[in-house]
Parts: sequence; C-alpha cells; structure tokens
Amino acid sequence: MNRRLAFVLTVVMLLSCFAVSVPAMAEGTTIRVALWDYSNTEYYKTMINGFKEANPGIDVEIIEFSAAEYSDTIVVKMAAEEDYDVIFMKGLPEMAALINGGRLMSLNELAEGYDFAPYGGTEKSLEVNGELYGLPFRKDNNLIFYNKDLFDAAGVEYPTDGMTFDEYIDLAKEMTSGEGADKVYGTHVHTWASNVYMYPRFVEEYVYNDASTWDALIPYYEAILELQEEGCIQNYGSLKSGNIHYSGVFYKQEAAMMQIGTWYINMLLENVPNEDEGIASFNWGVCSVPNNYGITTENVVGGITPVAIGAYAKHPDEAWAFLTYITGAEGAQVLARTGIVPAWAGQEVLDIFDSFHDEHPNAPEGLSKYISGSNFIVEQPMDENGKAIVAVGDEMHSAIMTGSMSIEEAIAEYKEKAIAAGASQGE
Amino acid sequence: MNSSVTIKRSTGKAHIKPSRVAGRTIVYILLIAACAIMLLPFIWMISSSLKAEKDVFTYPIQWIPAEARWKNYELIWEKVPLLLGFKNSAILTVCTMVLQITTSSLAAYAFAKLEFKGRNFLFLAYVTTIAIPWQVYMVPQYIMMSNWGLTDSLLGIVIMHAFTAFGVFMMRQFYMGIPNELLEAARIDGLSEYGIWARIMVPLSKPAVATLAITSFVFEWNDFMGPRIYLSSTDKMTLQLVLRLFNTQYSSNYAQMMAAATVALIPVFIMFVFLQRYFVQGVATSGLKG
Amino acid sequence: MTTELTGRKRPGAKLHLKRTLVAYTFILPNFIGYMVLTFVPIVLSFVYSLSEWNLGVSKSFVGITNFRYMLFEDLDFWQVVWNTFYYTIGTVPICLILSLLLAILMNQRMKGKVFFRSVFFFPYVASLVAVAVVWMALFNPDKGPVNEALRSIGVKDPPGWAGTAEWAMPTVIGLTIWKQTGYYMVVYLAALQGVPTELYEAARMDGANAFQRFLHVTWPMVTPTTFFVSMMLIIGTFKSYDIMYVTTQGGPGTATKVLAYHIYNNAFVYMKFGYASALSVFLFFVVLLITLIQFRGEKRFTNYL
Repeated sequence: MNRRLAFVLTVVMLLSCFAVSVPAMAEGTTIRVALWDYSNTEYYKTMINGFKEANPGIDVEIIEFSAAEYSDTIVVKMAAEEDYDVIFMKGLPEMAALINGGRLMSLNELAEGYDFAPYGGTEKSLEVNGELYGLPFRKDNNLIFYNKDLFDAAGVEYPTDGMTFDEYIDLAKEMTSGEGADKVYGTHVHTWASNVYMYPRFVEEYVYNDASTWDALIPYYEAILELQEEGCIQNYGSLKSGNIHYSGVFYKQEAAMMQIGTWYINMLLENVPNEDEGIASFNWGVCSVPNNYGITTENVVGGITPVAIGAYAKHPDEAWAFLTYITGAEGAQVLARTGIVPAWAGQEVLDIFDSFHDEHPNAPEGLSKYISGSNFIVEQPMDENGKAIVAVGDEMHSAIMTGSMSIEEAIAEYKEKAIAAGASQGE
Repeated sequence: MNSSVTIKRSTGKAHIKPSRVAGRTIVYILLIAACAIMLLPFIWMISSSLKAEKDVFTYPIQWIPAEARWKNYELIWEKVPLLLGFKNSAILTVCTMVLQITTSSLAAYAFAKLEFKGRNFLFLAYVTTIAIPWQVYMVPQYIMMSNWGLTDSLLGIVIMHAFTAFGVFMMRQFYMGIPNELLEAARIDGLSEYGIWARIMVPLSKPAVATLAITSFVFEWNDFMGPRIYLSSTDKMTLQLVLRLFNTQYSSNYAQMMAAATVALIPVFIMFVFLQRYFVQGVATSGLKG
Repeated sequence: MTTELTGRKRPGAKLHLKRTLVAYTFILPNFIGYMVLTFVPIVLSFVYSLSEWNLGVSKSFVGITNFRYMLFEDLDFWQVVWNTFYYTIGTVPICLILSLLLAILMNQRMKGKVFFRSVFFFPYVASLVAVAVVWMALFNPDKGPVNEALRSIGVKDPPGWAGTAEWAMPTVIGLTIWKQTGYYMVVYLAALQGVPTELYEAARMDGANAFQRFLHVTWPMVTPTTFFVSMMLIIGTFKSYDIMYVTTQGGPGTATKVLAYHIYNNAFVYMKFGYASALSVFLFFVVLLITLIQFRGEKRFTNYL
C-alpha cells in the first residue's frame, strides 16, 4: 500500500486514541437518565427543560438507546453496574427481569408520604413483594378505532361500546368491500400476539403467565382466522413480510376499524389533524374493546411504561425528584397535550383529552372516558420469567396466524413450552 | 445457473469463432439479468429515499416514485447528527482496518510459513473461536472493558475489533499459496524473516490485503451491535446508530432512513472502487513456480 | 497436534529455538490482543455455562445441569439444531459454487467487468434492512412479483414463502446466498490473482480444454481459499441470526429458529445467560469437529505444502 497513505492513517489512528473520553465536569448534581427515542420525541425535551427550571441545582445527562434494542442494551449495561440514576422501562416483563437481577432500587423509603392517588392504582403493578420499584409514566389501553367516513359511506351504524365480540366480527365482515386498489378491509388486525389476546384479557379470562388460561384464546383465534380466510382483514403473512405498519393502513383508509393502543390518538392528531392538512383526512372515532359481558369503558386493558431508579444510582434523591416531576402533574400535562395518555390521571389531563375535538374537528368528542376506566387491567403483569413466556406466546401466534399449526394443536404444544419457560399452570 | 459450460468456454483468448460469439452473448445476457437482481435492493433504497413515508411500503412495489421528494436528502442532515456519525464511523473504521491488516498479516505469516511449537494447536484454537457468536462473550467482555474504563469510547471498540482471528485465517490462506521455494531463496540471500515478510509477502499479497481491507471496512462501517452496547454519549454516535434514530417505538421513517443509508454507502463504494484494481492486478509471479 | 504440516527437514535444535522465537514475535501483536480481549471472555462464558445466571447480581454454580437441560429437556433444542444444519447445508454449497463461477468469469478479459464486479458486490455492502425488505417484497405471498410470475405461468397455488413453515427456510437461504455470494466472489478473485498465468499457458500447450484447465490448474491452486471460504461460510451460517432477526424472527413458529438465534434469545430475552453459554459450548464443539475434518481434507488436497 501507499506509504504516505499508511502514514496518514497511522497518525489519524493515534490522534483518535487521544481524543477519547474527556470527562465533562459539571457543577451541581448531574443525574444520568437512560431512555429511548429522546432525539425525536418533543415531549421529553419539554419535560426535561421544565424539570431543570423547577430544580436549578440538578442537571440532566441523557443516555439514549435505539427503541427496538433498548431492553437488551439496558440489561447488558446494568450487568456492568452502570450508574444510571433514572431508567425508563419499556414494559413490565423487562422490568421484572431487572428487579429479579437486583439492578433496580426499591423506592419504598423515597416514596414515604407520596400521594399515589392520581395514578389510580396503576402503581400497584410496579410492586414486587411489597417493594415499589418505579413510578408509572405512561399508560396505554386498547381501543377500537374506526373511520366514520367509511361507515357513513356504507350506511352502517358506528361500532358501539359494549358490543359483543360476535357483533364486532360481523361488523368487520359487513364493512369489507371493493377489490384491488379500492379494497376496504372491515378491520385491521396487526401482527402482534396482543392483537388477539387483548380480547380475553379484557374480560380477565386470559393472562399470559398462566398456561391454564390459554385455552380461552381458542374462540378468538377461530374468529380472526375466519376473517383472514374471508379476506375481511389483511393477511398476516403479507403484513409481516411486507413490513406493513398499522398506522399507514388506517391513514390510507384501507380498513374501517382497527384495534390498537391509545398512543394512536397522538399519531392521528399529528398525521390526520383536520379536513385538509396532513397525509389524509377523515373523521374518526373510538369505542371500547368488544366483549360478551356488556362491559364498556369501566374496564381498560393495556400496558404501563414505568420509570425506575438504578441500583447503582449516585443521586437517588435527585432521581426521585425527577421521577415525581415527569410522572406528576407537570409531566402528565405535557404528555397529555400531545395525545399520549399519562399514568397520572388528574382532572387536568382529562380536560385536555376532551378538548382535542375543538382543535381537531375530525377527532371524537369526550375522549377522556376511554382513558379513565376505573379497572385498569395490566396487559402483561410482572413475572420474573415474563420475557421468556412472552416470547413463547409470540412464537405460537406466528404459528397459528400462518396456518403452520392448527389452533388446538398450537395451544396444546405451546402451553407446554410456556410452562417450561416458567408460566404457572393455574392454582 | 446452468451457465457453467458457457462460462468455461469463454475462458479462452479472443479467437473469435461464431460459436464463441454466441457463447459470449449468452454469458452477457445472464450477467445482465443477474445484475438487475443484484441491484434491486439498491434501486429500492434510492426509490424509497425519494418517497413520502406513507408510500414506501405499497404493493406492488412502486419502483419509480410518482413524485421525487429530494427534500428527504436535505432533511436528514437537520433531523439527525449525520455528519457526526460519519466522523465517528470514519475514525473507527480506519483505525480498526489499519490495525487489523498489520497484526493479521504478521501473525498469518508465522502460521503459514514458519515452524514452531504449538503452531497447529494455536491455529486451530484461533479458527474455532471465530465460531463463537459475539453475543455469547459480549457480556463478560463488556464487563471487563467497563472495569478498564474502555466503554463509551471509540478506542474501546477499536481494540475490541482490531485483533481478529478472521483476519489471521484469511491472510494465512493466501500466504499458503505463495511457494516455499521463493522464501528459501530469499533466506539463502540473507533476508531475515522480517525482511521476507516486508519485501516479499506483503507486496505479493496485495489482493489479500485489499480483500481484508474491504471486509474490515464493510464490517466496521455497518456494525451496529458493537457501538450500541459500547457507546452511550450522543457525541460518539456512529453512522449506524444515527440511522436507527429514524425508527422510533411507534413509528418509523424508512424514506429518510433510506436517504441517509444511501448517503452512508458512498464511502463504501469509493473504498471498493479504489481497491478494485488490487483484486484484479495480476501478481508478478513469473518464474516463481516450476 | 504433533504432526507437521510441511515436509521440510527439521533444522538443528538451536536454530529451531531461534525460529520459534522469531515466529512468536510475528504472532504476538495479534495474539496478545486476541487473548485478552476475545479469548479470555470466551473462556469466561464457558465457565458461565456451568452456572445459572440471569445477568443479575448473583450467579450460582449448577454443574452440568444446563447441558442436561439442553440435551433432554429443552423443547426447542433439537428442532433448532436441525434448522441450523438445514440452513448451513442449504446455503454453503450453492454460495461456494456460485462465487467461484462468478470469480472465474470476472477474471476473464471481458468488457464491463469492473461494472459487473461492483454490482455483484453490492448486496454485501447494502444495509441488511434494505436487502431484507426487498427480498421479502419479491417473495410476498399475495402481491410479490415472484408469485405473480408463477401464477402467470399457470402455478395455481404458489408457495407462501416466508409466511409458511415449509418455505420460510428456503426463503431465508435464498436471501443469504444473494447477500453473500458477491463477497466470496471477491475473495476468490483475489486468490485467482495468485495463479501464475504460466500454468495456464503450459496446460494449453498440453492441449487441455477449458474444463480440464479448471480441474487441473484453477481448482488445485485455489484450494486454500476454498478451504477458507467453506470454513467461513459454515461458521458464518452457524453463528448468524441477524438475517432471521430482520425477516422472520425465527418463525413461523420455530421454522427458522437457528442455534445462534436460540442463543441470543436465551441470553437476552429469556435472561438465561448460563444456559445461553452452554448452547454456545455446544456450537463451539460442532464447529471444532467440522474444522478438524476440514483440516484433514486441507492436508490431503493442498498440493504445495
């Protein structure tokens, strides 16, 4: 190789070795906060600026990891005893694994005298053996979103709260129309396992970490496979191999209904803001998850995004101040204004959700009642083997939805695997 | 591919016979067809990078966007720290590449051409450990590096990747092909082993060095797992980490991601084109053998 | 391992020692780095294979429990091993032959070979996401061009490709070959540069046709490279999971779940790090066995040692 080039490369190499990690000394206290999607999520920045203004002595250092690999990365980082003060969690199974490994700090002492009432009991799901390990930041429950324009055009009544599951399936069939590019699917079932198990979970007949409840999935899989065979929903295999994101399906008005979490309110407000802006324009509405018990908005089923304090945190008091700020009244209102549901559910938050219709006439009125159900059913409760059992459930879902196995066969086989992974077999 | 016969026939020099012309034509048609298939991902990248996000995953694939959104190529520089990513990736890639080539080529010479105790055992140990997926020893390695303060630094990644068994294995296989007689002759002429390595082996192994260079370059440039575990400060983000910023938990922006990925490919291409001549430059082996 | 690879006579003891020392100086720069940064962690992870560790604060020594669980209780293990062999056997020979053919072709005097070479190399450098998306789109069961073409020539019920348990693995194998061939073509090209043109001339004088020249000149001369390429392909397929990760996530069901994917899942999803290490010990010994067999083969077939 060219000698001069080699020389230059060597110099560059040596220089770069000197350029590594000059520690930045900050005055006062700096807390290290680990999270995902910081760069492209405006509300984090608003909240953190607000926190810094309210707490002048505390600075915040952001450590950001990519969303898809966040859970794995945090596990490795904590195995090397990183001194993160605040750690955002993607969900409860991940959190259970870290608690079980002793990588999170119990908050019992810090939380003495703290008012938990506005969390509506969601903080209870963050307790293990009487120790509290985090505060709930967001909560997302599942709803049926529907496109009012498509229903009006077809002359069909909108879906209603408390409809039975069979009525929902029939509605999906009724709303399916057209061919080729004009095809409208009655509803959209995204590729996650939760898009099926949500229904039995809503009525508490199914929970992922108890294998004896898995049989409750059978009628739901039967109904959804029937929709798939009749072409009333898009084919699972196509969605999966085509990387089809559920949001686009609904924006492009390819489906009349869709079951998804409340975060989609935020996406709709941003992308379908009113009649003439955004990537599409239509009127939309929501209703609660269909079930055979006449339950309406009093039950909600969904996930919680907790925030925790690391076991090796250098500044636990400041970290606690951060936690209470972002999961408290101030942080909650910042979240709510974007259409994301905070776990802190004071009246201010409900008012914000009810006001969306004024700004965005295509959004429904009275959204608050869909996010404030008194009985919050946690989609995946904490379990130290949670991640493994979830993985088994996902595998079963793909086997059933692709028709690789019959429903009964798959459930029988994967129940065994779930038990091997640590699921209980009922009491 | 059943073109093997045709391919071999075209091995000959250009004595132009009619049958040969037909053969060549068939070869070219097959090659062009193969090219079209090979280029599909690239075409998809470019076409997606010029679309609005909602049009990226439409079926059937729209190869030519209805309306080219060149704006994507402007937006990517504002939206994510792409330039920073280029800088960090360049430092990582160049340092790793240089160290890899130097140390691998030295060790490979010993494994291929010198006799010493434990050679075969050591070599076997080297090769088989290539098979261990990084995920398996990533955690103990990370804890070790963390104790030495080498995490969240580019230096940590450089030294983690600089000493590879792969490079040694690859260079050794090329060195094996260089006739021993040549080395014996040099030894008789009084050249030391170091001299032989510098004056004979390295110049003769330009194609191998070029291959290792491109391997190392492509690996380091596209590596995502290493940086994502090792780096956490925003100012050390590599290109692949920056590219991930287009994907968030609930949404993804493949259009802009592909625009950035296309831009990110340019250095790899320059590298490849630059190294091209070494892949094909016939080594002056005249009179070495036979 | 006491057998010598070369047939040269042993030099005197003193000279021998000196040669050994010299050899070590060549190896050391790489060796020290490799030992400390790679070998030690690998040994550590082998030690973890005898423990139960969820990456938490405490780990406990459990002896060979993990290995017993692997062989007799893990409901996925044998399926995963079978998938791994299926993937390797499906990928390696085709990739090897294609890359050698392309390299020979690209080594000819022909117009536009610089262009062709670059194009064939392309899938290797392109982002895996882009390559995977395009491949999956081509093989989309409903609307993909491959199935449209099959339907147009009268295939009533074309395969569901990655969406079915039977066809998912062939689809993934196809993607792997597509992505890797260009790279090994370049490796072979470099090797072909080392073949002295005189050998071809001599063979031509002797009246050898193209096929005979390939058989008697090219093939023996690139044997070390073939050894390298086949080893790297085998190792690569044994330890790869990223292609499945971006396409099928190991599904449908367990259809494309390979050993490395199982290792990754156990380590970071199921949080059974000790067991993941045990699985990798198994992987290590399988590859060791294959390498030893290959070594014997290399000794027999490499002609100028």
